[in-house]
Amino acid sequence: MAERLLAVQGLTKRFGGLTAVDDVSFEVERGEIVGLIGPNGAGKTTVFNLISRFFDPTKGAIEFEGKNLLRAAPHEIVGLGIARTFQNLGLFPYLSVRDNLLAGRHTQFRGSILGLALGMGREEERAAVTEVMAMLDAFGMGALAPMPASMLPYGSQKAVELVRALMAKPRLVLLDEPVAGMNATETQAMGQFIRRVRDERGVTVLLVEHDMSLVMEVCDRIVVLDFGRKIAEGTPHEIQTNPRVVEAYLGEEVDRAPV
Amino acid sequence: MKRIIFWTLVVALLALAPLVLRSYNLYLLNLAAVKVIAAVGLALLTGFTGQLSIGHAGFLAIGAYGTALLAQYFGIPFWVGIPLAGLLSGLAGFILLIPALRLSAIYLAIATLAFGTAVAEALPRWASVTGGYQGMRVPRANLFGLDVQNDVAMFYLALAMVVVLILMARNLVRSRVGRAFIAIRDKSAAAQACGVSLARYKALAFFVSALYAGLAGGLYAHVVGYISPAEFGLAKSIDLFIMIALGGMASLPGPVLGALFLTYLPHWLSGFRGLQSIIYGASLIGIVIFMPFGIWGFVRKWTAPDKVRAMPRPLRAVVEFVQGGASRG
Repeated sequence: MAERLLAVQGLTKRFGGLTAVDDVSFEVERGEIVGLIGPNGAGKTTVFNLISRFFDPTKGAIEFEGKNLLRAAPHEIVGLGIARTFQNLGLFPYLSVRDNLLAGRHTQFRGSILGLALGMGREEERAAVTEVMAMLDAFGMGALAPMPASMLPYGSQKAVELVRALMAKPRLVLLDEPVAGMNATETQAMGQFIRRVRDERGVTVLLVEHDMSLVMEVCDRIVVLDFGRKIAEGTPHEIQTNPRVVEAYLGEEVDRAPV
Repeated sequence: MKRIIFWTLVVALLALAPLVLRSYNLYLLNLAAVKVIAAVGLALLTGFTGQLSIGHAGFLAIGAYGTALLAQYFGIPFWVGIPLAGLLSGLAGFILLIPALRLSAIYLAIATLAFGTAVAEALPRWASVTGGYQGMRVPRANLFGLDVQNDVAMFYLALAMVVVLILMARNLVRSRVGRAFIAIRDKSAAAQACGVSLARYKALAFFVSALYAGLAGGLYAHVVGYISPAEFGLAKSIDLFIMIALGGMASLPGPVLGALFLTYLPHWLSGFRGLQSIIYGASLIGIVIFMPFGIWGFVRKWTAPDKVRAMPRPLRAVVEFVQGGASRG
C-alpha cells in the first residue's frame, strides 16, 4: 500500500510581478522516484527552494510525513528527513570528500560545543568517520575520501554530493539536475546510482532534470511544469505522448503556410 | 603520536626560556602571545567562518579595560578578572551578530569598523572611570598575596593561555563546529541544507572570536601594566587583520606565524634607520605576491604539497568578500 510522503498543495510563489510557481499541487509516495520537469524557467528549482524553505511561499502548503514544513527553518529541514543537492554543486570545495560527508551528517552529532572545545568529541568523531568510510565504500568511492572536493572531476562531485545527502539518513532526497553537464556514459551511471539509492536504502527521490533519457528511464512518475503551472502528471509513457507536454517543449503547431 | 611529542618538547623548551632570556626579550614574547591569542580568535571568525571583522581592537579594549577596572574598583584578582573580562568581551561579540545576520562581506566589515571605532571613542569620554586619554595604570597582579607583576610570571601566564586557547581552537576546528564554520564561509545555502543554523554558528563564531580577543586584552593589560585608548584604535584592528592575512587565515598555524612575524619584524628592522617603513611595507607586499597561501601555506608547500592546492588563498578570500556582495549571504 503506497504511503504519502510529501504533499504539495496549491503552492504559489511570486517574485514581484513574476509568478514563478502558480498553484502547483502534487504528491510523492514513499519509495517512488518522481521527476519534476519543464522548460527553462518553468519554476522547478523554485519548487525545490520552497520545499527547502529558502523562500516562503506566497500561498499554499507543504506537508512531509503529515507535518507542516512551513513551520520549519531552512536548517531544520534535513532533520525532518529531507536532504538535497544543488544545481551548481553544493559541495564545500576546500573540505575533503570525507569532511564533506561528515558535514552532511551534521545533525547526527550530539556532543555539546563546550565539550568539543575541551576535546571530548573524539570518540563520536571517530565513529562518524567509520560511518562515512562505510558509506563511501558501499558506493565504491572509498579512494576519494582524502581528496579535496574541488579537485574531483565534475561527475564525481555530483555523485559525492548525492552520497553526502544520504549521510543525514533522509527519507526523501531532492536532486537538482543530477546529470547536468554529464556525457551519456556518466548520465547512465548516475541513473543506476539513483536507482540503487532508492532500491538499497529505501530513500524516496524527487528530481529536477532536463535530460529526458534519464528522466524517462529512472522515474516512476513525472510532474510537468510550464510557466509555473502544472500541466501534466503521469508515468513516463503517458508524459511522452501527452500533447500538452509536447507543445510546451516544442511549441504550438502552426498551420503550414504555402511556400 | 610524533606530533604530540614534538609539541610537548616545544612547550617544554619555551617553559625554560626565562632561564636564558633577558627581561626585555620575555616582555616581547609576552606581547607576541597577546597577538597570537587575538589573531587565532580573529582567524576563527574571518578565516574559517568568512565573517570579515576590522573592529577587533574593540574587543581587545573591552578585555584590557575590563580586567583593569575589575581589579581597580572591585579588587578582583587577575586570574578571575582576565577570564571575566574575556567573557564580557565574548558577550559583546553578540552585538556584531545583529549586522552579521543581515549584512554580508564588506558591509559587515563596515559594521565591525563602526563597533571598533565606537569603543575607541567611548573609552576616553568616560574619563571619570577610565582615566580618559591619559589612560590608566593596571593594578599589580597579585597571587594570594604574592606580587607577580613581572615579566617572568606573566610569561608563564601567557604561555599557559596560548597553549590552552590554541588547543581549544584546534579541538573546535576539527569537530562539526569547524566544518560548520567553513560550510557557512563557502556555501551558506548548502550549509543550511546540511542542517547548519546560520544564526547559531555565526553567533558562536563571534562569541569565541571576541572571547579570545578579550582574553588577549586582559593579558595585555597585565603584561604592559598601563593602558590607554590610543592603543585600541583602528590601526590595531588592521594590524590583526594583516597578521591573519599574511600568516594564512584559514588555518591555526597561520595566525600564530603571522602574529609572531609582525611582532618581531619591526625589531629586526630597528637597525635600518629611516628605511624601516620601506622595508616593512616591501616585505608585506613580498609575502602577498610570493606566498599566495600565506606564510603557513609557504611552509606547507614543502611539507605537504598535496594539501596546499586545496587551501583557500587568504587574500583571494578578501577579494571574494568584496566582490561577493549579497550573493554570499
